Amino acid sequence: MARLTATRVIKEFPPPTKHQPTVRALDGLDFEMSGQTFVSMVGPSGCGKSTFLNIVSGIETPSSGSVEVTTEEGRPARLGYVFQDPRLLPWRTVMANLLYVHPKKTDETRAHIQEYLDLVGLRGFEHMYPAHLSGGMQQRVGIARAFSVEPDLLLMDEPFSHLDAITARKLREELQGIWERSKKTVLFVTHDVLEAVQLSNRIIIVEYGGRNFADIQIDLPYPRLQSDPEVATAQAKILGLFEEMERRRAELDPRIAELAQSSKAREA
Amino acid sequence: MGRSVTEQAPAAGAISIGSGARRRNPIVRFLVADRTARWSSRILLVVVWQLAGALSPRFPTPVETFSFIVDEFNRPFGDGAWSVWNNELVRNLFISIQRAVSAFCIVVMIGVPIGYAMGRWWRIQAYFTDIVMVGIALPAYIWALLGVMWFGFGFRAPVFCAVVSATPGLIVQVLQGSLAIPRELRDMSGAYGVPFRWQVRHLILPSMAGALIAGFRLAINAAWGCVVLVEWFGNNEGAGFRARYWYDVNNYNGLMGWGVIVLCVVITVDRGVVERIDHAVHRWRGRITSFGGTRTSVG
Repeated sequence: MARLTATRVIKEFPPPTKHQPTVRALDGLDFEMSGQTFVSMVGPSGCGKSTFLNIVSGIETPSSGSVEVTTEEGRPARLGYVFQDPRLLPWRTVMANLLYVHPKKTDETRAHIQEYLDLVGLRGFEHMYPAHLSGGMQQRVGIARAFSVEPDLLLMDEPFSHLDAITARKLREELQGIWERSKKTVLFVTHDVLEAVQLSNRIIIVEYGGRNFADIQIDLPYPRLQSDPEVATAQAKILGLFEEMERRRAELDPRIAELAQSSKAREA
Repeated sequence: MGRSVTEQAPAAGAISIGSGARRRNPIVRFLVADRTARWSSRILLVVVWQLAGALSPRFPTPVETFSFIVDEFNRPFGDGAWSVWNNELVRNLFISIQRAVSAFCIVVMIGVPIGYAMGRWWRIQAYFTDIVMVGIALPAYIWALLGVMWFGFGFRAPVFCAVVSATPGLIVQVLQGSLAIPRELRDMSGAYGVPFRWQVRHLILPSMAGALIAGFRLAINAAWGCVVLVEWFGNNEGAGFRARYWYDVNNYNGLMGWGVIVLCVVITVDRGVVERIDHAVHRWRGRITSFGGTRTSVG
């Protein structure tokens, strides 16, 4: 298990052209999580959620502020990362893809990987190449890879967004089972509120510009189904917060209020 | 009048492949086969060569050329006694191959790291772009003449010239390969903390394999051509020197014979080494397609 502390994280990207301003993806994001918890970061597209995950994983560095990921004991945490796309080496088999991220390539490691492949329902596919698998199966390989490194912190960046609805639903249910068994610290990024409610026990809402907006606890028993009435109630509550966020944004920026008014007038 | 279509379900276990399943006439199959195309082009080349030789006394026929190569093999090298290893054909060829292999090793040691670094870091690309352009633009014969003037006869001139003329081409190919390494796979490797040596073996080299092999092919041809050229201009041994020797004594068979030998070396290396490596590194593609198509899903 891991402890993640982010303090006033700012991330700016250089302007795409000379005459454009710098792009600020995160604007002073504060965040803390630890223990056996499944935290979802929810927000509109482009609010800096994936950028934050990239900073946590070390792919990006923050422009200012700090991000610290340690174990409960204080040593550097080991990370697992499930990306939006599976990111598998096309020239390596499923087993070789999972071995690639393991420091030791022993028979024990193979047996350990095999356990996670069994867990995601891919027994018998370990010697196949990614091109032999469907999109959903490739994503399951990505999930098995992330769990198999026994991460202290597991990062998941909209892992089901590229899948069809049926496969995504099935994988969400499977993920709950895997997480319940492994009890990792998980940071999950999504823009799908229903998905966040179904999976997580805490939801952070990030608003445009990369700032915290709300922090909500979801105390519902697992496993959860999207059709559960409690899940629907929690989803409605969070969607209400999203509306409030939009209202506040419109108040702060008169141009957005004007746009909203003109679109309403057109509809009328 | 309406058409009547009778549909019949295939028998259990029968496989319907459509028009592809029609059996072709064996003669048609032979005529359209890949092997037939390759061998017919080779035979045509020899026939044209023979006809050209029959029409002009200055154009040696295949038989005359082959007979010269046998004579060259039977001629003892220098003042020593004849042996399988000590004859004009083997010794001169071995000297040239030794020079070309040395040059190729140096080309790879310089070209691969520079090309990779140019693709990875834009500052290094900015630094080397003009230097590489100069290297590509300067013709091999200029390097050959300069090499002979600077280093004289011996080992250094051909190796130097081969290195300077083959390296820029390899750098450009490796640069293209380096740019083609998928960014998302590099990020994934970084996020999981995969050691660099593992990234080289499992990500960087396989991603660059196509470009690397194309670069090696170019570098081998350039290095071999340059070694022979320098030996022609200023050397006292090697394949190029021997071709020049027979040219100076107006022996057309000798010139053509050494031309054929030089060509055979290039073809042998390409087919026997480069193509095999190419097949080995791209074997995974064959495994994917042999599974049942270019991209087959089982889910």
